[in-house]
Amino acid sequence: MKNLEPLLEEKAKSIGITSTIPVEVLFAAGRVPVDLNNIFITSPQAAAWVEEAEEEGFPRTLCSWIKGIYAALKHRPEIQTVIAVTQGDCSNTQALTEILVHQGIKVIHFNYPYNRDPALFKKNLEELMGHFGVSWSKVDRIRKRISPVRKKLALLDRETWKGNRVHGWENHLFLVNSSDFKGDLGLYEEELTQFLDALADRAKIPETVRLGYIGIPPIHSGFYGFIEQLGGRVVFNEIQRQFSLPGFGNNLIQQYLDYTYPYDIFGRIKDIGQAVEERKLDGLIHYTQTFCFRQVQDLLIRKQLSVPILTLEGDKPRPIDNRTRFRLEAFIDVLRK
Amino acid sequence: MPIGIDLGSRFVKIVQTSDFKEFKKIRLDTVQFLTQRVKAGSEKTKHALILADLGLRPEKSLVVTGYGKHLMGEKIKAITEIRAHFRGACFQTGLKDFILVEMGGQDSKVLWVQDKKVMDFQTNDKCAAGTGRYLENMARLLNINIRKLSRKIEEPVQINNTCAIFGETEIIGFLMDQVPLERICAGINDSVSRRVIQMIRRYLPFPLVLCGGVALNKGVVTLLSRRYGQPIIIPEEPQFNGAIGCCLEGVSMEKIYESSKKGQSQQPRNLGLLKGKAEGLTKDS
Repeated sequence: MKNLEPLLEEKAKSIGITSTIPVEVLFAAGRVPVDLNNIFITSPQAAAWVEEAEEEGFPRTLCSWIKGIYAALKHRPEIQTVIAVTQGDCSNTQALTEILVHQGIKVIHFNYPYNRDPALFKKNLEELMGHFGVSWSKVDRIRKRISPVRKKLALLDRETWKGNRVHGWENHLFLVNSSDFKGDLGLYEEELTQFLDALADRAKIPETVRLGYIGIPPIHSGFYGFIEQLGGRVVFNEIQRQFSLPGFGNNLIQQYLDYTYPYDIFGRIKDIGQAVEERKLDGLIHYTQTFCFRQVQDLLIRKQLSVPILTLEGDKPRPIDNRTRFRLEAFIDVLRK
Repeated sequence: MPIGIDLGSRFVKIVQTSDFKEFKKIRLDTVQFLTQRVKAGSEKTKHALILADLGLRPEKSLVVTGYGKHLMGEKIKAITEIRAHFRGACFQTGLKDFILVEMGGQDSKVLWVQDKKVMDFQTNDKCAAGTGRYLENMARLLNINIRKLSRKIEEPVQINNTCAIFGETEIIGFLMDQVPLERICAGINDSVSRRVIQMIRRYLPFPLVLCGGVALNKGVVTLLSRRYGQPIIIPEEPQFNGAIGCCLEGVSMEKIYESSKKGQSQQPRNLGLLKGKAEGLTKDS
């Protein structure tokens, strides 16, 4: 088991992650988590990166996020170790890790047990801790350090749907970045605190249609702004909110067992259903990625939730196309009272 | 006296009403409308001139929808076709739960309405197969009148392609094989009904309401009801449904349903139920 060897000697501090993992472990080890999805999607060259990966032979019929992660690593050579979620995300990640291993990148696998078994989760977590040589006491100390930041994120979320002072885009941005806290917990907390402090001076944002955004974060840009132009507002970002671990839990294990994203769809549907009720959502926008297995889950979401749902599909990173604009316009138009 | 205009790709439909019982209706060819009327007048007065030209008094409550909804000027309220057809169909049928299929000139839309809400909708805007334009092109290809084409329903040939262009290729093949023209015409109508069924299957078993110009094609309606196994509901004014929906903009949903119950003239017509003939076609064929 090559992967089990402690990586303490490793010089580089940055550790790439392919999806949300118990980031407390990395902070406890003094490492810098880097969510590779965020590196990819915030790059001005994101579209070109996908093409680069395709030129190297990645299939065109493959999710762009996988190609984006691959290219992000090429452009960030200081990242020599990657934690890959190979259970609880998608099987494309597994194939990606094999390419990465071939290219000399160290890959540590992290698995969320599909059946949410606490003992198995604990075993997987301790394996990850073993990689970085950190103890439970260190990890717990970091958990306590992060806890007030997570609470502030919950406050920001509440200010989005209840206080109505936060735009959908701002909510998305803070929550989506909580997967790695942009690699610097202190700085992230400072930004978040400043943002929350400034809210007191803000007027409530008027909106005619309250929307929930479900599914993985959008690969499109201009999405939230366009919705607000039409008089709608996203007041629930499902997966982004999950990245912030809103369940809290009594301990780290429970916290990550309450995290809905890596387990079955039914936990997600329950979470979405609660948000529809509590946040008084008029409709949901289900974003799906072209070639993603989650497109199949759209069927179940529709069957189990009795709320208008618009399913959007995105392939490459680019501004929202005309067809998507048209569909959003029609959706918001019919939800208006 | 609200005015609703549905500026479609094939026809411009204009409706004016004072009481939502009587409707003044005007239908114009879109190309003629664009080339002869829209060009006249400045941005501010354009719509007033157009309406005056049609014998309608310009109204404050003018709402436009359709492909060219922005052509009437920036100040005129424009709504999406989905909203217009949704409200028009609620009013015309009085139904609260239904599937609405709107088959227009160059696109078709499916709306699933449950408890007076649009739960989902689909549009096909990439290919003209299954639209009015498709039927017109096929009639032209076969050199027959579209009305004659629309009457043919027996022994339809199976046209497999969902692409309008490749569909034509298939028809040439049938002609070469000397398949009777009637069967080819029936096959064209049937291919449209098959396409509708594909789009609505996930929403079954709600009542099916058909709007748009294609709802006037008896062949399509009959073949569709055979496949569906239920009557197809055609509102009184299928082609003016979007324009009526525009007239209703600003009217609350409660009022829309109240008016639809009161107005006897808005009772939907049931066309095309052919019980006992459904066994000739399988659901998937």
